[in-house]
Amino acid sequence: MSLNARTLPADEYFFGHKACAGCGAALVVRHALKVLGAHAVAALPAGCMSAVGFNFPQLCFANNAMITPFAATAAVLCGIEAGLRAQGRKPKDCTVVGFAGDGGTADIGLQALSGAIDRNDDILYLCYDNEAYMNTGIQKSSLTPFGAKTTTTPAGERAHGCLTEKKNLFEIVCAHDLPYAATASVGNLPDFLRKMEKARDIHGTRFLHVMAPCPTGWGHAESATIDVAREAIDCGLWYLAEYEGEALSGEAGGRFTLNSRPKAASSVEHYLRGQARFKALTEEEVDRVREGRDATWARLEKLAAR
Amino acid sequence: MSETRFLSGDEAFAEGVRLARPQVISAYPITPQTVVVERLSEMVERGDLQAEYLHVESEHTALSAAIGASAAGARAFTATSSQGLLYMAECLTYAAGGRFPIVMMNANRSTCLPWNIYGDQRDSLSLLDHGWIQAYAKDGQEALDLALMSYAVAEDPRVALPFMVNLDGFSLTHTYDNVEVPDPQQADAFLPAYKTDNRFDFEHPVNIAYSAGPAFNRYYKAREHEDMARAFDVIEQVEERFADLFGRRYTGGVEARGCEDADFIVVTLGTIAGLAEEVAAQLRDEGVRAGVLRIRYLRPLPFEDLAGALSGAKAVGVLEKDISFGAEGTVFTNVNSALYRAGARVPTRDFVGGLGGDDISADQMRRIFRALERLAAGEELAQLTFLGVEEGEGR
Amino acid sequence: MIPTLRDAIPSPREYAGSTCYEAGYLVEKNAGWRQVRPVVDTQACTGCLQCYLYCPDGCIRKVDAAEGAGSRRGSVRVDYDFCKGCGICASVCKFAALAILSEKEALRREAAATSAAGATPSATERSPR
Repeated sequence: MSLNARTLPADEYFFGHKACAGCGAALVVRHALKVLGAHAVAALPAGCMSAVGFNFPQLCFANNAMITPFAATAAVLCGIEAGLRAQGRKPKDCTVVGFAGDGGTADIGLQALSGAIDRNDDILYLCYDNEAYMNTGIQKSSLTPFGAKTTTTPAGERAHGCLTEKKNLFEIVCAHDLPYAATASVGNLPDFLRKMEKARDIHGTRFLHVMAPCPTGWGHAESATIDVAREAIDCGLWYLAEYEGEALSGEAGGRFTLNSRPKAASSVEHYLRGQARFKALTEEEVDRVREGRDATWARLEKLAAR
Repeated sequence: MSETRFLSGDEAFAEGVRLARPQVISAYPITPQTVVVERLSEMVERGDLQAEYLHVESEHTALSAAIGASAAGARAFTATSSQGLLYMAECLTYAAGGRFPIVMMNANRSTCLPWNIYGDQRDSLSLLDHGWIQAYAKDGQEALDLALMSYAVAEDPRVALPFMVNLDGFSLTHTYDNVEVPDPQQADAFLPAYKTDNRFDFEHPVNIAYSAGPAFNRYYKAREHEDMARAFDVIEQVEERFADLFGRRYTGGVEARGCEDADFIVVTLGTIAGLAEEVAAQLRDEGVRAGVLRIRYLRPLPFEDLAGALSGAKAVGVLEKDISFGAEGTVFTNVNSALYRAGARVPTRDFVGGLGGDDISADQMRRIFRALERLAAGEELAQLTFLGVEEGEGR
Repeated sequence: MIPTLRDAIPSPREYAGSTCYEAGYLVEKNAGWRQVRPVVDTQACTGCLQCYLYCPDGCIRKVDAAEGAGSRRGSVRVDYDFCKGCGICASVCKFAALAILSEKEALRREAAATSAAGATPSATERSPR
């Protein structure tokens, strides 16, 4: 079914929360749960969404949900799923879903995620990527992009922000040859909704990596969240892609599909200059970001062409 | 019909777990617990145990997965030891605060550094504060029986706390004994399926394991403490039912041998109590009124049972396999607190031994009793003695 | 299905025995956060529902054609108890049907409209609390 504003259920499963105004991640969780429905069981580690979503007595999930230890999103998900199934208590339309941030996934949570994929646990793991540890006040994670100012990569005389590149989380996950993985963004909701629906109906471990701009941490207007996310896709600093594993695709090594391409008319510089976190970047550093983008796309095109 | 089998402590415990019918088992290897999860995997493979067996990739995941399973309403089990227990330590307080009645077997083993895989009790004794019930088994039979009783206690709605069953590494986990293994019908009669409201529900969804700030937090913690403290009522009832069904009677927080009229009592945990009892019996033959008090449950702390058993003695020695650096042994601290509360003025001394798997000999045990005699006669005795280390040795 | 505002904060006896409580239990509005609010122009609104789609807080509701004034396709209304005034709705609206007004201005206009129309409630929503 084509999921859009008309066909999505009117239920709001994530509501009343204390996320910042204009929060990209809140939109991700909101729509993921609309697609998965009332029988979704959600687990969230320490991070923005759990911090704003369940602070007794303001409990903002209308569906079954719990907070997990920080490193343990994937571990708790696998326990929930096994526990429901062992009791014969798992409805057919129940997805056990995790919502973890970039820090909670690519850093402290990576081990447990890898273990879950190894076991092919029947879980859907969604990483909302706001490119830093936002809940604790904007610290660098391994998914913080080069040049971004954070409180632990301050912009000063010698460094202008983060000195490392974003870890290739999507490719690392795909190298496990799991059934399905995809990147998505709040800048393209129809694409995100399609991928959620596809992931929902596959069994085994599924992974979605969703860009979710953060007005507070990125330094843009609250109303600009969607525009910023769209621009990231258009200038190629975020890519929309899917991976279907060997079992699903029937292709050795799995199948990569690119769902977006950088638009010639879109500018990396314009994207970067629109966010205060990149303010200190020099022309050379902007060039470096642009070159990094080109190198990434060269690699992606090779993967998609295999 | 029950059958008698010649089993190691680990194997006996695994049989008990089989009879307890956990629905989710999360398994990670660590010496000297590994045999438990190995035997369980064989039982699952044969079909003797219907459980989801998760090969987790770390101990932190082992307990986290058990928490998830428990939140789903399933009976969950895992096992660990030493460094693994410490690695999952943040999950201990999580499980207890979340009131998830998970049972975990811990093979008591020393903690690094130096690296040491042998038995002492530093691992569990360093983690008493996190809200888990902690029991210490003396032999393979008690280990098997605790596998069943632990679930009955933990899952009782008046308790609703996770339960750590401790077996001495190697000296219990790897030693063999004849153990009576109940049949599944008996076990099912004793331990029904896990029922709780503290779980996900598709008719009436819930939010679980949430945050609670300064205005609310203390109510949860006070209640957790009170429920743990009152668990002895439930333990007593569970042991009563166990005795009715299986014919073996356990004695709650402590097991006292010859303490009623004893002048000199050694207080200890786990398998070493067996040696203490042998030596105490010999001393009795020699006219010395020696007694042994084995602490079975260290959390909750059996204040009254401790004071009741010890306050009539002339001197008490705590023999423990741990040390809280810069202070004293943890069991000593706990025992002294119980005596102080009761206003008992018994002199007590701490004997720290068996560290890193060191053997404690009958001779050393005898010398502890003799030291208590001298203490009672007015001689000075150091508050804390490390067995087998002369004062200043090793500097 | 949606979390809803409740009348009471539970007592410790009800909650302190576990960290498990009824899902979707709310005790506070988020209205106090905002400096500005979106106001729907139901004449200009085409019912495309993009504002509903992109609201991070889920506080724009679909309104059927029968309810919405002057639109064939239905419209939207804002839940002002929980709107934080981020303005994403206005930024995605292609029909200029959402105006961002300061709270002060919005309340002034509402009061004027209410007194002009009698006691009829406008397209805004108010909770009795």
